[in-house]
Amino acid sequence: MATLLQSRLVKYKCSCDEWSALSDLFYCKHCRALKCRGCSSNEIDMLFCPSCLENSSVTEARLKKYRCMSCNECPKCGRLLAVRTANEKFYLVCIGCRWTTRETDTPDQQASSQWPMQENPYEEEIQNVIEKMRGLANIEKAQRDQRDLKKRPMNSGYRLTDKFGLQQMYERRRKTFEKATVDVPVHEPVDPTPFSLDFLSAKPRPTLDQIMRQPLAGDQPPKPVHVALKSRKSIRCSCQHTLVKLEYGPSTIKYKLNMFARNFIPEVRLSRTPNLKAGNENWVMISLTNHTSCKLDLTLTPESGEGLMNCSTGEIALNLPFAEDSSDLLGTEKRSDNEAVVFRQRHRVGIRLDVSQVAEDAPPLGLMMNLRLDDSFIQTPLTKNEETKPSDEPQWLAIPVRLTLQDS
Amino acid sequence: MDLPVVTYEKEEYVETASGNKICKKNTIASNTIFGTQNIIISGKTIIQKDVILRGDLAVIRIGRYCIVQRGTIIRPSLKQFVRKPTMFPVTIGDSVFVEEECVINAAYIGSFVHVGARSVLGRACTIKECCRVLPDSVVSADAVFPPFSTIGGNPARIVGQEPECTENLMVEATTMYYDNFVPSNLPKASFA
Amino acid sequence: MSSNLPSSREPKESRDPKPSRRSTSNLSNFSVTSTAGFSSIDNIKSPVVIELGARTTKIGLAGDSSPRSIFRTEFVDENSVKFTSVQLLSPRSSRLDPNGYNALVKFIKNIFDVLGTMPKDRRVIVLENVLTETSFRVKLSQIILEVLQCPSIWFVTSHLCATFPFNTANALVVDIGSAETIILPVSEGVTLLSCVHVSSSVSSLYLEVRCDQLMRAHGQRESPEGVRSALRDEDWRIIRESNVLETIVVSHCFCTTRERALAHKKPGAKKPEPEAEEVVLKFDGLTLIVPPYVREMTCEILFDQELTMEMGDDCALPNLLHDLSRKLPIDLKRQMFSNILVTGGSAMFPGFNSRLKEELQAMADQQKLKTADDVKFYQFDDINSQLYLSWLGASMIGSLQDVVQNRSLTRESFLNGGRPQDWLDNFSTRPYQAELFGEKSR
Repeated sequence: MATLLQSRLVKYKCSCDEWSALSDLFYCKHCRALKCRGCSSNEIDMLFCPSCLENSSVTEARLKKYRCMSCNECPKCGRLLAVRTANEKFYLVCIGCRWTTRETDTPDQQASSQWPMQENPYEEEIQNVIEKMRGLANIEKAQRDQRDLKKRPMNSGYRLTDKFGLQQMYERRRKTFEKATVDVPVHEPVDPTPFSLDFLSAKPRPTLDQIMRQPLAGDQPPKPVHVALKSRKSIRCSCQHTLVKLEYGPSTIKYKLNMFARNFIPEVRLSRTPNLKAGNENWVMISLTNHTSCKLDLTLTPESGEGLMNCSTGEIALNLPFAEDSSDLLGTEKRSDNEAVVFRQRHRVGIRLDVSQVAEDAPPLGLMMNLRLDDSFIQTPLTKNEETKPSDEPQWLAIPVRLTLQDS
Repeated sequence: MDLPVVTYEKEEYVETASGNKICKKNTIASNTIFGTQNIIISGKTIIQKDVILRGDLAVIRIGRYCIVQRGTIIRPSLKQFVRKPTMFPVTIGDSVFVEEECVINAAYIGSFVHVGARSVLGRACTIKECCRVLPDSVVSADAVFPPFSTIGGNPARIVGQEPECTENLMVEATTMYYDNFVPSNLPKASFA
Repeated sequence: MSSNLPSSREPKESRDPKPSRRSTSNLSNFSVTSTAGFSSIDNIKSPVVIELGARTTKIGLAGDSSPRSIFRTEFVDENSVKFTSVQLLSPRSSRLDPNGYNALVKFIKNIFDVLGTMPKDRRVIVLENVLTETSFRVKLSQIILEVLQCPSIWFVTSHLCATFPFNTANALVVDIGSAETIILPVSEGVTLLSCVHVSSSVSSLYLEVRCDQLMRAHGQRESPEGVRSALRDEDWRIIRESNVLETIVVSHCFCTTRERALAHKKPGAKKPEPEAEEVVLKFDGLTLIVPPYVREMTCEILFDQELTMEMGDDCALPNLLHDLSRKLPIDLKRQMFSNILVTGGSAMFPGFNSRLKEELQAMADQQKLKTADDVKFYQFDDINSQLYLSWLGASMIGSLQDVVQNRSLTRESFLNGGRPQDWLDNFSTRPYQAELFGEKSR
């Protein structure tokens, strides 16, 4: 898990120059680059209710005002309401705060779904005003078009049908004809509601959270709030190719397409909590794990620069087999290991880096990973007409990595 | 960070044929696991010290590569139906990591879920796959949480979204934990 | 009233390329509509309306009669770092404050997530108050147009939008917010920007400060046995963490009459009868007693000039309104007081409007003015409309496609160096010239 393995300590540089942990990165085969959530775009895959896990399409959702018709939340505390039956009718109960729909003026309903929602009493009035505004907007548009029409040349391609320019004159006159606007009265200002001794009572008014949850309730007893729909996303690279797409169904965890970066790039992890003291020679143990399904060829170069830890270990060339690789069981491959490699276990290597620091707080440790791209990294062109890259020339992907050694 | 090697006293744990490692010597009571005939553990699961499994109430099903840390209570809950109250079985999926001192009355915990320390999962709640429950959170009864949600607070709400590769991460973490959970008197030359 | 929309002072944003029409003749079926498919977007999808308040954010689609969602302007990122509204809405540039900038980007992405819609498809309408810093506007435009790739953005004045639901062209809009109060008169659809008045002491921030002060002086705790005593330091920690002061102010305080307030203030005078009831609140193990004095007198900070000057060094509400009416032209003074429009979440107290009327009339009597003879308020009863009135107005005007299209700043023009225009940029110095788009000046 991200927190179990503390993968947030290690950050990789994405193609958009942002640093993210490996679990938040994706790899695009077409662009041959890492993409993070910031540089890739999200798309709404489907809308679903978080409690009944029922999905709905965008048009359905719009009709239902983006709320689930069967699930309700308590207006007081926000928990999901449970349905109880009494005399073949249903009422809703909140388990947390003991609020029930019986406290409101709505009677028990015949059906447990489609509970009546809070309506806005001024809805009609507001729609009338919008109509009036629409009328004004049309007038404005007519005036503007008339002005534009003046600028246009008179004889623009209608010589055949519009010999004497009569049609155009008629049209221009027609446009200046002002449409009658709907006359909607002003909502008149009134005298304020006077002070009443009811204000003195200790009966609590809704809290800000309750008002925000159901603003239309006002001073009346609140009604159950329909649960808002949540959206599920699929991720698409800037080159328009999809990177991550889940299967159909709101409660699935299977992917149709999953170009996670960890399926292509080895994972660097801190192996042990480093014991760092200023001035002394310390070492940092990191482990490199190959989660991909093929052998990886890479070189790891510690970077020492500004703001980075001073590392004296040189460049390390590695050949990481994948998890199910059975080739070295035969012992045929002899690896000339670098002295920095202290441990090797199937698809993992442990590396010791010698660092030294001057100041008290440890700056991050910088590494440059150079990965050789073989065929599984590249999207092979479908047609032969596209320029084929010569396969003998290896392609390399350079990925800077930063490890936070000390929790600041 | 790689998970460290955790050792245990060989005498305190029972290792079954399917690879389950269950602690038999507890500090709070002599026996903390009740109704063992109702408890089905699929394999390669670790049940640590002082974990109470109330199999005497209803069936408890735990998947593979699960880790239940010490002090946790897994207790099937009661569901009041119209005619008669029934005990809801607890189903826990694969690669679930339950931290210390949690109280689980949930009806269903999906696979690849990470439950934080001291959290309380209320009666008959449903946590779908690949979720993460933050430490010290209290999930209300009958709550349902969709996959990939980060759940936290009291009452628990969805506070974030989990990364898409959670399944892979949890599989790796739980297998690594299982591999590194070794008896103390066995010499093991391991570095990681 | 002129046939133009009350859009005066709305800055003329860089316009979309106009639909090039050769003729509207019925014989012609040859009309090349605008480029970039905006009309196809407009036909289907209504714009997203966002109001970023200092305490609450209201979001929804244009055309709705109430916001889809109202939530606090706060953000917690994946590392559990909390960002307050001050940090999110700060005008500091992204270079100086990269964390705050990233948090704001994620906050706005979250808005689109809650609405279940893609930023690429939706025009955005953002409500702002007239005193928003330009750097914040540019920052917001950059996030919405460049980072999220929305097609266009339109900044609307929140005070003007508040008048739309009432279908009125004349109103004295008083927006009592969380950080400050801004008063702006609107006459015949023209915002009288020269008369804008601001006070930072009349705000929910200061309401909570006052409540804190009064609770420290009069609040009590009750032990499980029923013994009452003063509040202790650890109680104040619980009060801070559970946001108790906000609960007390929103749910239990009210605006009392002028008579009662004066009676309370006079030292040694008889307390007014009947007394308000005390309130017992239970939080996290602490039983808090809110005495009636606190309930009644917290709101005095809105009306009492001495108190506001002492606490916040700024005017109280009635003084502010009378100052403003002095600056108004003579024909508008009485009219404005009969057309007061109170908006803003901090004005949702019972008894607020009637107390404001009493105070205005008392002050007018003192100064021998006749302007406050007839004080009337625009109000929608019973729907907590003050919290989202401006949002509602923006939603109404946002449902008019042509209006939005013509006044928005498009993505293309922003990327080519265009900037959202400020209300000062379109100052016309010829007072009687009415431009086609209804831009009048005062």
